[in-house]
Amino acid sequence: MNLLLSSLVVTAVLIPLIVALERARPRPRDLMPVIVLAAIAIVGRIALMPIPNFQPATALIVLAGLFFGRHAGLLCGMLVALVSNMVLGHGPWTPWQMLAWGGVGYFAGVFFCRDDQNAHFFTPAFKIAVLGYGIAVSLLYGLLMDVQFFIAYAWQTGWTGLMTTIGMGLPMNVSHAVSTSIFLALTLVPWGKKLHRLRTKYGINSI
Amino acid sequence: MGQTLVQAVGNSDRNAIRISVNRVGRSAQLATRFSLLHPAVMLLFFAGVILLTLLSYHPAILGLSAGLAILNICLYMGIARLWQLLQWVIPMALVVILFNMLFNHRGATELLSIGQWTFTLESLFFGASIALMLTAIMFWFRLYSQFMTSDRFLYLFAPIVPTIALSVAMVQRWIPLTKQRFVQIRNAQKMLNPKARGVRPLTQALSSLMSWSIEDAIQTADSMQARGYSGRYGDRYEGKYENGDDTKSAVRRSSFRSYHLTMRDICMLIAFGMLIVMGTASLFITTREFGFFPVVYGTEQLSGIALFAAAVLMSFPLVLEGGQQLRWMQSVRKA
Repeated sequence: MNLLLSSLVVTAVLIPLIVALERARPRPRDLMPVIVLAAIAIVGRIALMPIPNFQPATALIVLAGLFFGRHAGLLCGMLVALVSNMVLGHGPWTPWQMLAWGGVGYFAGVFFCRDDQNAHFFTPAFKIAVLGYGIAVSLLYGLLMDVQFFIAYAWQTGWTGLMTTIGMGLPMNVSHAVSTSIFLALTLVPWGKKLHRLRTKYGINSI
Repeated sequence: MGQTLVQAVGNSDRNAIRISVNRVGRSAQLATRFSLLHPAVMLLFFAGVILLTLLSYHPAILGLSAGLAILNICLYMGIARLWQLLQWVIPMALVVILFNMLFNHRGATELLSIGQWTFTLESLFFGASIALMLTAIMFWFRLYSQFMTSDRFLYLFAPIVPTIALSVAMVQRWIPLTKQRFVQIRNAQKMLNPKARGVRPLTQALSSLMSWSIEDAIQTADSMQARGYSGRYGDRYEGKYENGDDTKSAVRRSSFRSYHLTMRDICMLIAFGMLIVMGTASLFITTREFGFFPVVYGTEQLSGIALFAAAVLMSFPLVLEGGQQLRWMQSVRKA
């Protein structure tokens, strides 16, 4: 019952976001960078499975939101969750991951995306802010997943159970945050320059 | 000598054919009677099964669900796949059971107590039934991803959420392409500079992978727009995008596979709908009386109607395909 209700609530939260995305009615051309980033994120997530929770997905979703707008970030996050779980296994956690990653991309767009995002002029303060955002959302993502585990399978264990779930998840979440900050630091400026060039070259719009 | 060589070549050819058939079987899957149903029927079937499994913690209905899911997986996907799946379902189930045992101290029947920690039989039962629910759900989701292939998914959802449906289909195509291109780039790098080590060549490879993929993707995007992909199936989309771009496509969109809602599909939709409503209502009413703490109570409250509805719904693919399979095995044995 808890599992059912929580999944339904999360799906209900996703619906207005999806409606907003569909209302934006992006051209296929505007979707392409998002799709490519999502594909690289999924391949990276699956390839790095042996290292627990070490993955480029969150970093690339932040990039999608940062350079192509909040709906691009939302779409990228939802795609990564939906499609990578087709390989890794769907479950009641799929809507939660879609919401969490979609939110990561959406708020990256809200906070950082400007009309003409140009990585040539990123200030150090901006870079630090993006890195901080990446670390914070990685930890929040892990927290949401731990809460999902607790609500669905262990809510009877009460406060100590919740704290233990979060405590046990901590190493995994730290690994996630470390990987996100590494990938963000490696890609933010070089990929940003390339994305800016591609965008002026082909007239890709933010969504 | 010549003879053996010919045989060897023949055998290797036969192997090649078998391998390619297996591949086709994996991606497009050989037609079964269940896979020939309309996608909407399939979606309703899986939605109903998952709903009935999630609604209660009654062990009878969870056991029924898990058991029938296992039989379905054996029938449609083979025992090897079931074994693969079990290898990661069982540890997860054990984690859930242990976690509940360790941190839930409610319940009247004490099994063991160490200091202030008490482990009770009821929390073991409770953890076991949640683990059973998790197991059953994972089995059904595995069957779902086996049957709801991307063309069915697109067929159902493209009219409602065209952007997301299109993106899912594109990402699925781009995943193998990305892998293949990454290997190509790495090979070129190794050939040009065999001694290069460390992170730098890797980041360079990833960066060129990204720009190569996007440059290529733009062309695909233009082509898809020209072929009418941004609208519904069969529509020629002639609206304007938000930025004022004209979006008129050159041709009407055609779909790879079209499904027709036959009379049989409509009957199945109605039957499934009735079973789901029946099962949900009776589960909702009866299993409220069922609980674990302080002692397990209300086990006998489960109504026969709910069990009947769940059993009929969940064994539907078995009945649909099982007879055929049996007949096939008999004919193979005869021949």
